[in-house]
Amino acid sequence: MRKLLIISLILFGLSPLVKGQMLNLNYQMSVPIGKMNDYAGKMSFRGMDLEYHHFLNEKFSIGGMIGWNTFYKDKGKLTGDFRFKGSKDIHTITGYQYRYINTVPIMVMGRYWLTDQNTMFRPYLGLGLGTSWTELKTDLGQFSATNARWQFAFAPEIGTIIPVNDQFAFNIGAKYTYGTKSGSVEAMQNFTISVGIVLMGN
Amino acid sequence: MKRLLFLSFIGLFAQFLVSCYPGGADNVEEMDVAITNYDKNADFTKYTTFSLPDTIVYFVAKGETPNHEFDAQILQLVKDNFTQLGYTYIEPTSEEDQQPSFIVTVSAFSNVNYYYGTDYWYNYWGWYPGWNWIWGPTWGPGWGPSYPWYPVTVYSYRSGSIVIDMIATNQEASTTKKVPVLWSGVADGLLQGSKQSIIDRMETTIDQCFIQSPYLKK
Repeated sequence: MRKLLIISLILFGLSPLVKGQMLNLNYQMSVPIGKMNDYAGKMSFRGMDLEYHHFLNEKFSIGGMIGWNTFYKDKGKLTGDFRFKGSKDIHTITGYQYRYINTVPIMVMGRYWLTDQNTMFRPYLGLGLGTSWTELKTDLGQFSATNARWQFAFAPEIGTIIPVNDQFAFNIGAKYTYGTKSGSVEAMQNFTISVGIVLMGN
Repeated sequence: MKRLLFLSFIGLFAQFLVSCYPGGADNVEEMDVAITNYDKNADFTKYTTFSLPDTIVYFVAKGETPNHEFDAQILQLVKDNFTQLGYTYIEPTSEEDQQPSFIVTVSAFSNVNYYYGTDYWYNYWGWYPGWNWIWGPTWGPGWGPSYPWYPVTVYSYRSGSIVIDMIATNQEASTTKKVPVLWSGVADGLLQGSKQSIIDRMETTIDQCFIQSPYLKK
């Protein structure tokens, strides 16, 4: 969390220097898809991201984002094969499994804005490109198994901001995120709805 | 001012997300696990008859006295599970009886903060010390089970565990002082709640050890 704060501080520090920019904080709800849905298939209401966008002109902006989403599923009593650290042998373990997915996407973002700056809604289409740190964790009795990897990730998005005045706006968006399979961490896919506030500097 | 507000917003947000980080086990039963492993090279069809000692060996923290109250109940359960799988029980009464092809030992650990990985537990505690097995050599100090899987794992017995070992009666044991373990079942759980509820949970978990080991079936 401290990192997030530092990044936001830096962004704030820069803000008086640059014109045509926005800072956006979102609350996020996500649905895991594919392998991640198999692992912990339950909608998450625990997510956020922080975005910064810099306008190149009226129609295009580039920026960056960092986010955090947590998925959790109580899988009930299951039998599975596990390896203990430092051992190649497979042990069969039955017990109640609690599974967590934590993802921290960090991406460069490009957006195309469909309207100019004076409309009531300012819809956009965007694409994020970067990485996602994805951690899969299973708790089982007193044991815990964790797998974490950096994945290459991309995320197309669609949304709109709703300006209140020339400094403040709301954001509503939908995003699909894909992280490539990395080692033992399977491909990560999720669909995210973002709702947030936007600070604009003109 | 606005920036400060935004900053505190981020802080609040993060706080909110951390504070509702999702849960996990709600009650002791959900902490129970059944762990099994077996010798992947063993031919279980070779083993048909078994016997088991009439006590459970306890490994407890210093100063604690083991409670043998439930020994008979647990041993009976283990015995029943093996007979239900198709093995024949032989009563260890006389040397003239047929020697069983394997024996089953039951050990119990409680409140022992002990890791398998660093040192073998039986070296530390003494393993079935001086147990006089009527069919074979006496298991004395320095004897121990030899697990074909490595290392016998890193289970910590800070809770309560019952370890069931299926051990081949092996003639070479007298020279190596190692008895080969064919199969291990561990019922692990927290020692919380009434005695009866603990024993009920232990029994369910012991049964589960056999359920999840279909290769044992005759």
